[in-house]
Amino acid sequence: MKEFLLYKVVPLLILAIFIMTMKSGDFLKKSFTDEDDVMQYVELVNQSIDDGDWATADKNIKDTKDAFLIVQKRIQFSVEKSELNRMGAAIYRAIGYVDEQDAAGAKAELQEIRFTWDGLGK
Amino acid sequence: MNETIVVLVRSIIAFGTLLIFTRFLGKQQVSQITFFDYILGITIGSIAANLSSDITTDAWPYWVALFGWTIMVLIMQKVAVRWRQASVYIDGEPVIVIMNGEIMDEVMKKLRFRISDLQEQLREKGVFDIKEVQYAVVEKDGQLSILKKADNLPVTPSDMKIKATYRGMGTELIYDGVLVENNLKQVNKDQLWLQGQLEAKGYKDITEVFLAVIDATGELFLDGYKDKMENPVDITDFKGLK
Repeated sequence: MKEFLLYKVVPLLILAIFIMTMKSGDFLKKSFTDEDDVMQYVELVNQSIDDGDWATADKNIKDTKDAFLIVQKRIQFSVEKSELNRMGAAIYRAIGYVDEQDAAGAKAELQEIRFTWDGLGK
Repeated sequence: MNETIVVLVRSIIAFGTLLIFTRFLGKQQVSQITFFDYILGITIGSIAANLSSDITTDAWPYWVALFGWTIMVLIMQKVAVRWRQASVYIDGEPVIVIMNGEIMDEVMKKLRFRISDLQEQLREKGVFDIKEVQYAVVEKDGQLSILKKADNLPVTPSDMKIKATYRGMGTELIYDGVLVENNLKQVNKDQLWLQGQLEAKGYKDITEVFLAVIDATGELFLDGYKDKMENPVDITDFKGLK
């Protein structure tokens, strides 16, 4: 029994933990609190731009950045570095476009954020 | 992304996975019997290294590759064990290169084995005169096994009609200052007996002994932590270590 536990159960358990760590990105990128809901903030930014409310858009895009920084810590073990960089760069470009009140540029960056987000951890 | 922590976590995953997978593959793979086994070992190690440090790609594809290679090696091992012909096809066979003292030139050509290679391997086996060799076989891993002619074989006790004492395998009773109780029971001895033996050799306690081994004849080998050598031989010529 002890041998079965040591040589079969423990290695399988360790491998299961490894697999969970590597494949946890898709689950861990989901929102667990109000502050880490990246996609909700992206939609709010989109809505604010449509309404022409640039002050709210500016607040929401910065909230998107903060939310992503929280999520990034959770998913960093299971995603590519380049994907995280791409997501971060798109958010920062969107901040610039919102700051300049450039709706077309900001919307293009929001699309890139959505696309990259969908691929994170997949 | 905190690269240091990510690489550390991925290294733990790679290390643990490699350890489990190599234990799973068993000693046959570790012994690297053929050149192909050797390459498989390098490939699996290389995938594990990438899993550990290549953070431009996520860890999962590397882990799947590691798993895939391990499964393929396992299948190959199982096939080779079950079917003799498959084993010969996959791993090759040992080949005789010296038969009855004569070098098999055609075989040597087929193996692309130079005479200098043969001489070098013979020298490594302690044979400096090729005339001493009756048979030489190139094994699957490329190593040479030799059988010397009867005239050149060392004399054994049976040649001299002497009855040799059976020594058997040694059993460790103390390892690194710690008593191995299971082994003590196996040789039908107790701690009292062991303590007596230690005291007879000048040791007060088990913790003073680095290694104690008993052989089949009951003879005890003891080595303490304190070396008793007064003038140990020093083979280094590097003064920095002194």
